[in-house]
Amino acid sequence: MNNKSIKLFLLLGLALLSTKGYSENRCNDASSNKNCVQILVESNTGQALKDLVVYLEPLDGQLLEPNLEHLVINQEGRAFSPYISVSQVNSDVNFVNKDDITHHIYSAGSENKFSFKIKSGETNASVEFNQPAEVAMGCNIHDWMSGYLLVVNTPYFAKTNTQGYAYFDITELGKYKIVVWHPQMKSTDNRMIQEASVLPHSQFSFKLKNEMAGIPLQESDDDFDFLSDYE
Amino acid sequence: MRSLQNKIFLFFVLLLLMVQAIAFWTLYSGNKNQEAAEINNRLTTAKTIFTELFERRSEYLVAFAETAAKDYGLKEVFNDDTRSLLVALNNHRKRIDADLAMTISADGVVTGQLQRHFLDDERNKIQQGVESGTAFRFTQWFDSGQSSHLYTIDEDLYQVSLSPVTVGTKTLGWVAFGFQIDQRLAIEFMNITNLSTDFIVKDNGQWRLIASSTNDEESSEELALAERMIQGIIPEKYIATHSLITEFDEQEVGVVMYGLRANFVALLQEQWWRFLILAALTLFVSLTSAYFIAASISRPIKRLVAQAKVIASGDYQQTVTLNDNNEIGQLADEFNHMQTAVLQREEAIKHHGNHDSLTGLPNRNVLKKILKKYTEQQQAFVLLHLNLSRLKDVNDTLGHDVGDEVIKEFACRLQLLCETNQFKNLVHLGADEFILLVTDLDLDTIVAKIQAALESTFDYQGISLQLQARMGIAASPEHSNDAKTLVQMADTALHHTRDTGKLVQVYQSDLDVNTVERLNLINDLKQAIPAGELELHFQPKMNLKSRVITHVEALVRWQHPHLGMVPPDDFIHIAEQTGQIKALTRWVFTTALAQFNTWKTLDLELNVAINISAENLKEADFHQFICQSLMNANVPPEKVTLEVTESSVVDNPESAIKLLSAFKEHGFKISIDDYGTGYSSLAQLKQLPVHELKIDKSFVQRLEHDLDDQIIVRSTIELAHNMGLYVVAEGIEDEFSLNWLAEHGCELAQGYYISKPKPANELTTWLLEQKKPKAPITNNETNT
Repeated sequence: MNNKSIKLFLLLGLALLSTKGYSENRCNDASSNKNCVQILVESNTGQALKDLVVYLEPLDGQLLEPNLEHLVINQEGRAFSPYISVSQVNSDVNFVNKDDITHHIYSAGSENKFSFKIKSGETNASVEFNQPAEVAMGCNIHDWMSGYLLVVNTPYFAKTNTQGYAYFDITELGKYKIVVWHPQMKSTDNRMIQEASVLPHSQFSFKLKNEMAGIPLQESDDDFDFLSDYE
Repeated sequence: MRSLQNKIFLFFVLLLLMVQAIAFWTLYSGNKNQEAAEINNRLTTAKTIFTELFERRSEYLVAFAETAAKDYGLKEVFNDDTRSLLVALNNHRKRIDADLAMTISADGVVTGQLQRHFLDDERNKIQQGVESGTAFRFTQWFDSGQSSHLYTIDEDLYQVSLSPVTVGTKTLGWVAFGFQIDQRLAIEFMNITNLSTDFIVKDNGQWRLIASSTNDEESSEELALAERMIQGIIPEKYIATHSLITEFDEQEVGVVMYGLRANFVALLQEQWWRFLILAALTLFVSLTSAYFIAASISRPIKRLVAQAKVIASGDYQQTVTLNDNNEIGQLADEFNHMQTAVLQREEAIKHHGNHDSLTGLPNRNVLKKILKKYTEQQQAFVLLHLNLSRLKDVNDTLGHDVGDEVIKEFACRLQLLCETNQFKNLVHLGADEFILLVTDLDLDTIVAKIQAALESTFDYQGISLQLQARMGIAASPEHSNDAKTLVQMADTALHHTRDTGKLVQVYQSDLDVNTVERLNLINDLKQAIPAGELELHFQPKMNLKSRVITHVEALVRWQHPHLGMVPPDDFIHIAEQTGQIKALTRWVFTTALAQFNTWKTLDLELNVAINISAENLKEADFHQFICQSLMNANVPPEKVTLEVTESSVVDNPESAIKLLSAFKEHGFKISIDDYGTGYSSLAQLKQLPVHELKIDKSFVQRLEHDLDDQIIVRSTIELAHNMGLYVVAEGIEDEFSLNWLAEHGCELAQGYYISKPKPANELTTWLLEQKKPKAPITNNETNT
């Protein structure tokens, strides 16, 4: 198998996983669920933007059941996969090395500093995230690898789909702070915020003020292919 | 000295100097170009080296900053406490020994800064920088994409590189490392390039000296120099290049690299010295060899010169041998040929010089040698001077060719005579004169043999010619021992035969005329007047009527210092021939006039007669002189009688008559001297402006016994009287003559009988006695 077909295969798998994983607090179709809230994120030119994190923080003291979904951050193809992950505080975060080489995953420069080596095929669950944080991650061995984990203090979080939508099945209606975040978003703290009362079938839309910065490709500058040839 | 050797040498010297000069010039210009190229090369290299070095440092910093930025350890403490960060930062800094290390947070604040400070004692210390906690001044660098920059902290200038510290794509901040641009760099650079290096920076439009490789205290001068050089103005004594490093902002750093041209050229100068020494050596060697070449060329020539000198000295025996086949060798051969030819020719000339060309007999030169030999050996011999008679007649009538034949025949016979007898030598003096030297034979035999040899006639082309010789003979040692004298004696004897008509004359002493003395007199006469050797004698003339002395004749006498009294006949003629008569006559004239005045004071009134030579009459200023002298002496002209010989008038009658007429008109008395000897015609006599005739003494001396003379004298007296002239008779030696002349009407008489010529003072005494009433002369008169 060559490199390109691997990538294609992986992307296909990724897509399948993502649609399957976010099920509990999210509704796929607004019509099927009366409480389903729809949020659209568009670029400054009106294009649908995918994989932007959207989350809603309650402002009226609504008590929400935590979403302690098990989060997996893969190291696959010498890249963080997915590039952006999001989870609620105290969720389990598993780093899974699906590559045939060792990675040294770290985060630095913030309160959530961690660092560990992870061998091929291993899973690491040692890091706990018990504070909301914006965790930038890298690999000490592979400089180009870049990944983000946004730890939020709400069960309502999601990433926009390819059409730019994120859906939430809100059980406790009320006032919420709706946040759209992406590390390459050119705005304060890389985010846009709306505070709004969420009603059944509420629809919100965000239009970015600026063009997004380029999303890192997580590819080596060098044509460093010899490892692939061993597969 | 312009010898050939010198010329060749000089030529070589000039040639060599020219070649050397061309070589030197070529080398010089080549070296100059090389020098310029080398300087240019050097400067370009220096500049390249600098740029390379500077960029290398930049790249090094960039690479290191990037590496350090990716260091996890640094990332870990990047946002931690300052202390941890600084330790980590310093750890990195130490790895490249950077002079400056900085971290800048994502929000553009300098979170950590380490700076090297130099202490006085060469040590240095890393200290926390002053900018910690302040905002980074150049946030625009973050997004510029350029990683190398120039950075200043206070006075210090750094070359820095900035690299972002990231976690994945998230930028935590920046880390920067820098090297200071300071004297260390300048010195390092100087060590590489041997050029002094200055760094200057432009602050607010003003250049400031950052660092200099020279430890010069005069930094302002250094700055001024660097400033000029960066503008491209380079003083002549320097070589320089510069480079400008500009930041996109206002930072502008100049690098000036320069050296003293002299220092740099010193290396080339050393080459020059080597070359000069080499040039001098080659010049010396080539000059030496040129000298020897010149000498080798001129050596054979010098030998030829020496040989030529030998030949010139008359030595023809040596030959010159040169083993050269070249032109000089040929010249030497020709030299030898020439020498032989010269020798032959010289011998021919010698023969020609010693022999008569016509007869081939030895000539006078040979005679001299023979005579010299004989006289040295004291050999007794007879010298015969032979003269072929009547040769002139033969030449005139039959031509010189026949004359020559006669001479040849004559020579031939004499030669034959010599061969058959003991006649030793025959010499042909030239023309018809021969000399024969005979020993051991008596004179008569010799003469007889010669005459016998010449007896037969010489038949030439049908003409019978009688050969007759006259002979003058002198014998050694009877007549003289001296060869020259002997020849002269024979010659004198031969001369005598002409006069006497004899064929043979043996020398006798009375044949001699003082020819030699005569020659000496010519020279001595010149001195005579200034030396006061001349003396004037006076002979009185008696008035035959009154028997009183009324006239005197001035006669010059020469008291020669060696010869004694020289008679006028001997020297007057010489004086006339040598042009000294002018001075002589003038001396006589002035002296006679002086004497006239002396007598006048004694109351002796006398007419003075002075002899005038024919030569005097030819003088242009003679008349003027006589008149002038007369005037000076204040003597009346009628008291002076000018005696002119008959012959002197005959020579040039017209001018003589003209001059004498002038004298006569002036009042002088004119007398014709020696009348009767000059063959003057009566026609001339008629024209002559004279007052008196002076009958020559030859007619008077024998008057008593010669009736012819009586007739001549009587007739002359009558003739003179008829022409209105007075008559003076000279040579009165007896009483008869005196009385006879008085009887026949002669006016004046002069002669020994009356008085011989006397010096003036003697005559004065005599004259004074004569004035007394009773005088001896009166007695004589009574006897007549």
